[in-house]
Amino acid sequence: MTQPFLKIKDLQVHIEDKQILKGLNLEMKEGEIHVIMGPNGAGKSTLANVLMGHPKYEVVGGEIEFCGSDVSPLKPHERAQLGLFLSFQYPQEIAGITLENFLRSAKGAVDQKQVKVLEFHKLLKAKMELLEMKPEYAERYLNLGFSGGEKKKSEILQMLILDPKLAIMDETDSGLDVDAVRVVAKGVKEYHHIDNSMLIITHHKSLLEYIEPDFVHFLVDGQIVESGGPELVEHVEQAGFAAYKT
Amino acid sequence: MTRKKTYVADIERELYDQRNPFTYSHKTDKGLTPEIIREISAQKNEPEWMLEFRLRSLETYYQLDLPPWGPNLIELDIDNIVTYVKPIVDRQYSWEDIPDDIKQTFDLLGIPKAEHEFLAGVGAQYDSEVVYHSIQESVAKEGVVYLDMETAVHEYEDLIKEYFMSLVTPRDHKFAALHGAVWSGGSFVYIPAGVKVEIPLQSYFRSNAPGAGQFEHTLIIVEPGSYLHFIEGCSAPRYSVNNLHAGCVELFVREGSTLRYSTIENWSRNMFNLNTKRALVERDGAIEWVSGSFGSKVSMLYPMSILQGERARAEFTGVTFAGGGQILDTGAKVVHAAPHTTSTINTKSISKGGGTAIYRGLIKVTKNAYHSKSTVSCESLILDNESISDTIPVMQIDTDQVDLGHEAKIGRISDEAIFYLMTRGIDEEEARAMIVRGFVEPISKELPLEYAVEMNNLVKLELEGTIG
Amino acid sequence: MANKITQGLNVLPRISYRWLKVNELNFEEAVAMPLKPYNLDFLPPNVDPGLTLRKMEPGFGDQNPISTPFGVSRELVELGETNCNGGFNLLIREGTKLAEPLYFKYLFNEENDTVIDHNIIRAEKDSAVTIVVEYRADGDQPAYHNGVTKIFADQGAQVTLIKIQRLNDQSLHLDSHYIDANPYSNVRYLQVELGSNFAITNYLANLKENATATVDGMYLGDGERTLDLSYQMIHRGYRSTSDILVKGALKDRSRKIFRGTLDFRRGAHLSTGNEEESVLLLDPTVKSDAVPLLLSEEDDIQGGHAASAGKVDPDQLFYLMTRGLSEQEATQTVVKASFQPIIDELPSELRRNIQDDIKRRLVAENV
Repeated sequence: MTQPFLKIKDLQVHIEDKQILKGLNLEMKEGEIHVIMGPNGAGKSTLANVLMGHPKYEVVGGEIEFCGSDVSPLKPHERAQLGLFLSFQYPQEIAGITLENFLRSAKGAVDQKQVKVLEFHKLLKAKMELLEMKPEYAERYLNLGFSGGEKKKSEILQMLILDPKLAIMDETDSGLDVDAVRVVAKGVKEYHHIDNSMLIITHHKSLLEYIEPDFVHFLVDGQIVESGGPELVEHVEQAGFAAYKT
Repeated sequence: MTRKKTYVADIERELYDQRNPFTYSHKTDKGLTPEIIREISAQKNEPEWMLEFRLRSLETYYQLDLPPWGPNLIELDIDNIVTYVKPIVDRQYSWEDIPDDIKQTFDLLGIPKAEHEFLAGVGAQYDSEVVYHSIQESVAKEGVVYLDMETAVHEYEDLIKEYFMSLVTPRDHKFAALHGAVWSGGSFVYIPAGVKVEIPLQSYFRSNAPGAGQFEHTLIIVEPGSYLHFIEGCSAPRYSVNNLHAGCVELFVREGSTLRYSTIENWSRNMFNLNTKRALVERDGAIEWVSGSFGSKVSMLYPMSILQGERARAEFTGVTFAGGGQILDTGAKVVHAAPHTTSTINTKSISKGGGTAIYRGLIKVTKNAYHSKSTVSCESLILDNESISDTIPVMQIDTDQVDLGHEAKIGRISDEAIFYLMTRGIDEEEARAMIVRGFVEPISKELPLEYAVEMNNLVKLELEGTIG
Repeated sequence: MANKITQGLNVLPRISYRWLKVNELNFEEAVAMPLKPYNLDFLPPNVDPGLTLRKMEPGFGDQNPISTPFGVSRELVELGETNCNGGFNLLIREGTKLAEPLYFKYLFNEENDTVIDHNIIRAEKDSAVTIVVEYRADGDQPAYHNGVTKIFADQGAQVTLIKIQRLNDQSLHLDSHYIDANPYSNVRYLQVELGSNFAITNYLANLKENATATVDGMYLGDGERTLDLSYQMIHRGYRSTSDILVKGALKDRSRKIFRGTLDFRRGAHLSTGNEEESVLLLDPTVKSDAVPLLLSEEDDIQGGHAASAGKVDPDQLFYLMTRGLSEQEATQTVVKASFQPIIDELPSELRRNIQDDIKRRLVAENV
């Protein structure tokens, strides 16, 4: 299929009386990898959170269509059930629930069917091995006390288990050492196949050394100001975003 | 009818509200007079000294005032509480002999099955009188005594005379005095030295008549070098007349012994739960309290541990959940009265729908309790802005060589945490429930599986607001 | 003429079990507070034109009476208002920002052994001021002090009040404070308690939206002295912030009770309150009580408190001793270090005296 499966048209978003996204346009097809880069404060995390339906952001104009339907009436969990996933820049720590138990519940919720305990355990074990995560982490409380690198791995692990149609990655490579980036890239490669897509938000290019994007966009001052192929990454490495600022 | 297990399907609140049309053999008049006390004592065929004790307690009851602190107890009209109700059956030792309707009530609570699988014995109270009592052979062989209190008064007279209400005396407060006068039912447990009881001993209570009070007395003596886990779980149906529970628990933990006392209190929404629990711990002994307080209209519950011997230890892990119309005033008290003693208090409270949860605590370190250590952590979760949470801790230190740390936090479930869980496909209500379950997890993991499951389910019911 | 003080001092906002006797402070025998004039100068010498400063008149009535009950006791607050012999009425006009602190010094001697000061500080919009009040009594003559201080901080005002109490061991010190923190105001209170037989202080702040109120307190108890320090932060408006930090050390047979309350009322959403109390216990004969209350009827807040008490960390002592200090010197060093963050906030002229007092008290008897 080649119809756009994510279509963002003229998106305008406010938070607490301040306008962040000022008419953002973006289209993605199935199977594509898009990268969004931009200076701090441009609205990259806002875009990621709005796609997932974070209640503190107010959509005041434009629309978001995913797989042909308008997602605006949908709550975050309904969007997850539809196949959206967000890997957070700062994942929450939730005490009292183990990583394994939580993920098993989430899988059940997203797939809308019962998950068999033993089967799940095997799946989890395999994915954790791929991500070079120590097995003990499955018994630890969700993200509680995890190092920065382990938290990001935990996000990728969730992505591999939940297998969404569109994975949005918000600054997943920030704060990671070289080794951790390599492992995260491994996870991303494992995830990506012909039927699912990725929207990678970043402002370094370390992850991009492992992953070849189809399209690169620059988000400056709440709008997409430039779109192109992977060569744009080199361009911004040299010149920065100064040319685009109003 | 069997009890539905909760990890597969929801338990219905109605299961707890089973009510039998009551046909009781004996019912005392309303109002507390010495004549009523005599009647109660005569019914139980008690020795003279116990009757005297009851009468002296009644005098003390009239002398003492209600406490000036805590929730308002004016609504409790004690003189209208029928204190003693005895069902038509006499005490049984075998399940088969019990009349059907009474059996049905306990069937619903899952006791027979539990007995086979989990427990050494069950002492189940039905309206102030122990109905059913049995002790598994292996435990009795080791010299473990597990009897109802009335029988113990006859068969272990000297022991009871020495210990009964020596730790919680009638002079302590008005409801202790009331208890001393009208106590009825409860358990007596004696663990001889060097015996480690593998399986938890458990007891249930029920209050089935309108206006009936619950005054059971639990007395546990654990001799040196022994171990016991005792589980107290309560349930009562709801009524329009105010119900009162003024029970008393006295625990004597001897040298080198450990006693774990677990409770889930789930009284019906019209109960006044004014319970007094106290443990006296000797050198190298330990008391571990695990407590889940749900239900009741008003609760005042502050298990107290007195660390009397060197290196004695007290641990308290508790959760309190106050829903609409409830005031749960609970806490823990520890008195360090000897050197090298330690205490750890970890409490969590949740208030929702206009409920009030109050933590009232005390750590007291006396002059000679040098090298004592105490850590207290109280966390409160307020789920909406109609509810109230108050933390009122007191720390009194009379020596320098002590290491005491206390911290408390109050807050709500963070929106960010809810959003995070929702992005993983979990709906908002379930996300909230997950976070609250995670919040109380330190307590549920200390309980035996059945109780942990019951507690998680109670939490779920409370969150949904299907109760109250 | 004297006023008798006995019971019901520093009553807790929520009371605890009766038998603990922490709900309030009661004197076993009535203590008499003399009523007489104070004839020494205490006002600062020169006054900026942006201020109006006058000596306080006894019986001065506020235009806006305070509805929240506050103070060590109602009687003592009334005594301060009606029979003051000292104190000041200070108005800082809109936009006035004072660079230098204002000093008020009360010295006690045989003829002037009683100070009852009623102080009103009104800081208008966007003003800023630092006020230092010192009470000092050397020698053996008992000194009596009862103070009532009210701060009304308007929108955007910044007020810092520093109180230093250095009365001799025979004295009685009673001090009540009321703070009205209006939106976006910031009121700081620094408290140094280094004397008196009884030092009984009470602080209450009403915080409106976006207001901040903080307390930084330090005390040293020694000999037979008693300290009863009470603080209440009442969050009434949204996004208000409070912070209480009290550090102390107790030696000999001294006693202290700390009463700190963080109270979040409905409507105070997004507010944050923090309370921390730590005390170093230097002798087995001391008594330390703490009642840190955390009350809330609003869910969208963050409240926390931490209280700790114990001996000086043996690892710290050991470390200092391996650098050549005796145990006594090491202990003094640790105690002084725990007070240093607050001492650093004080105007430099005051630091020397305070450090000397601390050293003197730590060395006396033992330690």
